[in-house]
Parts: sequence; structure tokens; C-alpha cells
Amino acid sequence: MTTTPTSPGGPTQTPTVHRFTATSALIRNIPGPHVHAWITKLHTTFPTAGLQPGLDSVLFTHPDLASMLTDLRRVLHSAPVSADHDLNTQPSTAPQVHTIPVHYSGSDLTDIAEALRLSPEQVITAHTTTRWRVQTIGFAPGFGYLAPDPGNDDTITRDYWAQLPRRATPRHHVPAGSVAVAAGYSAIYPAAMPGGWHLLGTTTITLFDPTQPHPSLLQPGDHVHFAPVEHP
Amino acid sequence: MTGHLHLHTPGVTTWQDTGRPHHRHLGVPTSGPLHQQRFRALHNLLPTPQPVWENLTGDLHFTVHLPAGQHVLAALTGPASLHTPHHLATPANTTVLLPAGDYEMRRHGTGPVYLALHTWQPPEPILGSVSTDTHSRLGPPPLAPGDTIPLTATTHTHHAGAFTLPARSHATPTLTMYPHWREGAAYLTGTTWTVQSYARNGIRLTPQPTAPQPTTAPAHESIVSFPVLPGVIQLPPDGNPIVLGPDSGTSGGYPTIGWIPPRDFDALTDATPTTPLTFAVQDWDTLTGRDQENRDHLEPAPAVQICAITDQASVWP
Repeated sequence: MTTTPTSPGGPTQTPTVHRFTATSALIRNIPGPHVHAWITKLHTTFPTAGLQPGLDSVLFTHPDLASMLTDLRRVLHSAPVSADHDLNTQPSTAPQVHTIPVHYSGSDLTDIAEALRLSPEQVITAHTTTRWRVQTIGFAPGFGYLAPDPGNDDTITRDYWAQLPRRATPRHHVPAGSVAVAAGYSAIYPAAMPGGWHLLGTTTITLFDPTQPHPSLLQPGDHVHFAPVEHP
Repeated sequence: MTGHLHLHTPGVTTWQDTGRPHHRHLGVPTSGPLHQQRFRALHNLLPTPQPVWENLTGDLHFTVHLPAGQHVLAALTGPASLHTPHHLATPANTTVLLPAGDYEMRRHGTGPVYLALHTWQPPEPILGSVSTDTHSRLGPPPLAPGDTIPLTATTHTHHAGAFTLPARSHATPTLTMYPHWREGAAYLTGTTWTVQSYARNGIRLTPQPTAPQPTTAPAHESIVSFPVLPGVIQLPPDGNPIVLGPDSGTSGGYPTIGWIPPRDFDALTDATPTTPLTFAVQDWDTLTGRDQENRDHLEPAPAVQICAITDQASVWP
């Protein structure tokens, strides 16, 4: 699959640069599917810069940021990413397909069903039939923001899941392995931590192993399929 | 190894070093010290950098086990002092040679305290760091009663022994903030705040009860999660700002008001629930190396000789 600046990630926009800290700038207005393509391109031009992805942004960090801002803006304005830079076209980052077993017993399942005007069984069916794609990694080690893949049929879109905003009051403790949805995305909590997403179920899959050469199971561009299981 | 340290009472203490700043693209928080200046001062006191203990609350009680006649070099920074059972005290911001024996680290103020022994053997690093990450549970767990740390007796007898750290914060610290969002900055600077809750992943503020209450928190369009960094100030819907700490998640969905530089974040970590806090907006064009590098205020004191604690004599002038 390739994407272009006019692909489902959104219309072509000019990225904007915002001072964020003394040594970092936030680059915004990047269509989601192009974030990692931009990181590849920026890394080529600024190999010593730190590049941290967001959903529609990239955090650019360098000790000499002030002297690099002009060059950074020039690169962003003069060279939009093309299909050549899309992460899915690069053999070294060929996307993987992960099947995640889920025991759908989350404490928010009933509330989710009510919010979506579905039965709990219909929510589970919608979650398992949605084809998810890892848009980016962030928030916590191995925490993948999973967006409905553009290849889904018209009824299962990001807007469908976006009917569920984040919880009004975040939980202080979300158990490790919790499978959740909020704001148009799904995710799996790799460890116990605070969180504001709605809990659908749990999985026993290990998402982050710092002893491995590639600690994060999920990588941007990977595809994720959730499969229901009866027992955790 | 020639001995070990046995920890009896840990307070709220974690291992910290320079953290994991190069793994943020994997969602790994930076971690590392809350108070940069005290951490770096401790490193400067020791012959070589060591992973340190960062104590946030509570006194420590530990026993050093070493062969007779051997010592281990210790350094301490922050509002605390080191005591033997005979009440011999070693002040903060100094080094001292410790023989075998019982020791207490007693706090006499709020804010992070750093202690290290040269040379001790910390836990195995995770992703290149022994820092305890309280957000994502990477690194060793917080220190617990019964923990044992292997030690090597020191051969060092001369080293720069003391630093002068700046006086503690003013009664009403005014923290420098470089803004991200004009309306948010106006909201933050419009009143006096105090600390509502304090953790390594963030310090949550609330309006000081006696201060003019802030205007309604400014509305912000819904935003998708974007990368954040320690020192950045988030504004959740309830209007209570959160200054992100070293263990904060690497991305967030709340709008950000601005960023405070490390030296001001250091001052914030000393605040108590009754400390009034105000913010002053600085223009990005005025950003100086002082804010950028945080190299200020590390002024070596006149060199002092390392002193050895003994059971017989007062060893500190």
C-alpha cells in the first residue's frame, strides 16, 4: 500500500513549526499516515536530531535547535513527502500482521454499548471486524495508537469509534493488557498505569520487552486484528 | 566487592541516573532526576558518576558492612544530613568517608534529596539506565526494606568535597514560562497557585485558596495526542495545570500552556502544598543559555578535605 499527500490521511497541508522547549520544536499539521514518512525524511536531512512521533505531529529535538530552525522550515516547506517515503513501501519496515487474543470482559463494555447504541455482542463484533493499523507509538513503552485502516468498509471508520471520547475522569490504575478504545482509536495498555480510555477486555500478549533488540511488538504501519477468546 | 549496604528504612526512594532520553520514540519516558541541579552537583562531588538514590519523602536508615579499616565515599545533596547513632552529622552538599556502621539520612525540608556511595553496585540497567520509571514500571522497583547493595571500599582520599548550592526558593517563587498558547498563558499567570499533588510523572497545581480565583479555564479545540516533554505544562478540562515530570508519558491529549526550564522546575520540586507559586511569561527570543543548559549556580566552595566519620570524634567543623 502506498499513500500520497492526498491519501485518506487527509488533504495536503503545510506542516507548521512551533517552539516547544529550549531544544525542541513541535511540527504539526502532518497527515497521520505521513508522520513516519516525515520522520524518515527528516532523519536523512538532520541525522543527529531526535525525532518523536505524534498522531499528526513530530517532535524535533536538537541541542542547537535555534540555529537549525531556518533549515528545518525550509525542508518542511520545500519537500512534501511522497509515496517513496511512505513507511509501508520500505522493505526494512515491512508491516507485520498481529492477531491479538482478547477476553472481552472489560468493565466499560456495557457503557460502550450504550454510547454506541449497540448490544455488547455487537460492540465485540465491531471491534473484532475492524481492521486496525498502528498509526504511531507513544504515551508508554509499546503503547500503539491503532486507527481503523482505510481499507475498512464504510460503516467501520474512525468516526464510528470517535463517538466515544476519552472518559471524563481518568482511572488511576488501568491493568496491564487492557484493550481499550477512545477518540477514534484502540490501544492495549502494555503495563499497569493511569489511563482515560474505555476498557473493552484484556489480553495476555506482551507488548514491550526491553531485553529484546526490538522491544516493541507493534511498529508503526503494522496491522492488528483482535480475536475473541473465552478465557483470559 | 568488599562489603554491602543493608537498607532498613527506605522512605520514598528510587534509583536514578541520566535516564533513557534516546528511547522516547518507543514511548519510553525519559526518567532521570527530578532536581537536575542537585543530581549534577552530586556527580561533581564523586570521582566518577554513580547511579544515585533519589529520596522524595521519609528518612533513611541503613547499615554499611565493610572490613575493619575500610571506608566508602558517600555524597549527599539536598535538604538532609547524614548521621551516625552518636549524632555526628555530615551536612548536605559534601562528601564523607563512611566506615562500617549504622547511618540515618534525616530530612530537614521538602524537595528531592540525592545520596550516592562510591562505589556501589546498582541494579542491572534497562535500556541503558537504572532509573526507576514510575509511569511505565521500567527499571528497578522503588527501594524497599531489606534491600542489599554490594559495595567496594574506596581508595580515594582526596576529592573536591563540597559545593555551594543556591539558597532555597523564595517564599513566593515566580517560575519562568515560555508560552505555547496565549490564552492558556494568560490563565496561568492570572492567579497564584500551589501544589495539589506531587509525583515523578507530574506536579499538579491548584489555585491558592486565598488568591483571586482564576477565570474559567480557556476552551481549546479538541486535539489529538502529540509528543510532550518534562517541564511542559498541560491544562486538563478541570482547569488544574499539570507540570510534567521526568516519568510523564511521552505523548498527551491535553493542550499545553508552555514550558518551564529546568532551573525553574527544580524550584517547583521544592514547593509544598502551602507554597504560593506564580508564573512569568518569557518571550522565546529571550531564551538564554542559562535556561537552555541549566549550568547556573554550581559554584565550588573552598576545597575541603574529605572527612572520615569515626566513633570517637566530631569530624565536621
